[in-house]
Amino acid sequence: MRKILLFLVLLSASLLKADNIKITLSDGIDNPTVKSKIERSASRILTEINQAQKENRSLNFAAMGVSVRVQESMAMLWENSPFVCTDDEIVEHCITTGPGYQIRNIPLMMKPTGERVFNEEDYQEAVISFDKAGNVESFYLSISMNLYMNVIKSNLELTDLRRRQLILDYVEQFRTAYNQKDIKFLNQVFSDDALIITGKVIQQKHSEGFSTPKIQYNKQSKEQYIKNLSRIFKKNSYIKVIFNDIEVMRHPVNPNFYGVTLLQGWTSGEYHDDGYLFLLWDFTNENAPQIHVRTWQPDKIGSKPLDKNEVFSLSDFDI
Amino acid sequence: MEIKRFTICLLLLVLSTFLCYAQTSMEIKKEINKIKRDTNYIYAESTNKNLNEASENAQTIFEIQIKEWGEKQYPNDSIETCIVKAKEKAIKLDTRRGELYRAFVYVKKSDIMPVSCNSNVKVVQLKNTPVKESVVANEHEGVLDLSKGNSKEMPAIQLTAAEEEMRKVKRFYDIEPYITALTKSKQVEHYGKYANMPQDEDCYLFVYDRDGKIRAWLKKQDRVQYNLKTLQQDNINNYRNCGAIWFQFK
Repeated sequence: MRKILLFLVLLSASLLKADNIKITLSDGIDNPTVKSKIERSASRILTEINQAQKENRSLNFAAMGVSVRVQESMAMLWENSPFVCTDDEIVEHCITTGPGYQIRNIPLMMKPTGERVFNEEDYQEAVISFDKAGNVESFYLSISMNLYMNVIKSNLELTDLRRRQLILDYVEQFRTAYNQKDIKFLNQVFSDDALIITGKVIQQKHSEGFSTPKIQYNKQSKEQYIKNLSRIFKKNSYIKVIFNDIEVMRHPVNPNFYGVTLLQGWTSGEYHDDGYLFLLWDFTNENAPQIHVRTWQPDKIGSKPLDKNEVFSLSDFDI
Repeated sequence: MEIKRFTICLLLLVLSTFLCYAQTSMEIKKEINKIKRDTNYIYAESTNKNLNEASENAQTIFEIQIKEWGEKQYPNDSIETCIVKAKEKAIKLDTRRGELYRAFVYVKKSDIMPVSCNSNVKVVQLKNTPVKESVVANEHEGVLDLSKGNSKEMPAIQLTAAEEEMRKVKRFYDIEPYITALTKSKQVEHYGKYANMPQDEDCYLFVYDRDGKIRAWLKKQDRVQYNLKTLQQDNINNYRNCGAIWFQFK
């Protein structure tokens, strides 16, 4: 009887166990060599992720065969919260991008260890990007499905939809860049003449003796902003940016320009703030979109939520 | 001893149920991957804590995929045809992903192609112009007499057998097999999308909405249109945001 029970337990365990994760690209890439390389690379990455999670250890990047840059970004994601791929076989389209290829919709379940506060969804979807030769370029988590659906459902026409999907992709890479302190990406994504505006709440003293909170705005050039950001990145070992709300508006006159408003939560070390981030994106070159304006305002003045009319939007800027 | 046997049996039952569930879930996953591998299908999926939300999201993404595919495949034709057919023909599969629900919806591309390559349907954005109708009720007999009060004399409508059959087509999806059957039996010679409808010739029209429901069966005769259901004069201009397919009996 014991032997029967043991056999049944082992049988069920073997049925549930996932070894190598198989990746199949259904379409979207003609070159069979590059296709095969991408499938193998993605398989190695996801298999190692699951193995590391199973063995409760850090990621073994030697097993993945990825560049230092990808290793660093994956290590940061893992540090925030380990994760596991839920499927033992993944079939997806191969998406052609400007610089190469992408596999999207890779299902992951986050497995926070409890060492850090984890305020995100348990289920996330990952994106792996490759260059034209099939080498892994990046691994990042795509924007949360709720935010994605909010934006997608509000699309007006097909070209607009494609742009919105592209915008969401870049917004997510933008967020990841802060989390991974990727100053190189941020330097590249802001245009050289970008306008950076940050606001902070100050107490305005009145002659009658009382004071009221108000927002004071500070203007910076791209150079000043990147310099200040580099300092913050060096000072803080841990930076976490999350987006809780997103609104995408197309410019009524220039269809290449989109205003993206995000409710951002920023945590670095012991510091935390919440505020409205407005980005003016220029998609004239879809392979290299740029941000011309970045504004930040606190979401509250004192204890009072910021009036939505006070939040910067497309109409505040002359394009 | 009895308790021991009972416990073992219970454990075996639980284990076998669990294994059966795991097998079913695995089978659905295999089915999903099989469809995803096959480029003859269009699909969409979504994972969510709530099954309804997962289904809704999957459906939204699915319709977007259909639109994208329709635009690429038939750039000169209306994609509404594809969307309507996709809604009719879509198959849904639900499974679990851990504690979450995974909704998957798919359709075969060949099932959502427009009527034919030459006679695709165009959804017409029509103005809501009301038809000026002069209808006089016969106060003695209580019968609607369309012939009075109009500048042009209109005949009373009596349906033929073929027109009665036409009225039985209730959904957009049924138009194609109906016309195909009539074409094969050589009863119908010409048919096509509304944009190609001959203006000076008599014909019949199926008018359908975005949900694929036939809103009107019209007969165009001597440049005047009649509704075969209400037996009154009508006009396609009354059907905003609807598409239409015309055909002519031999």
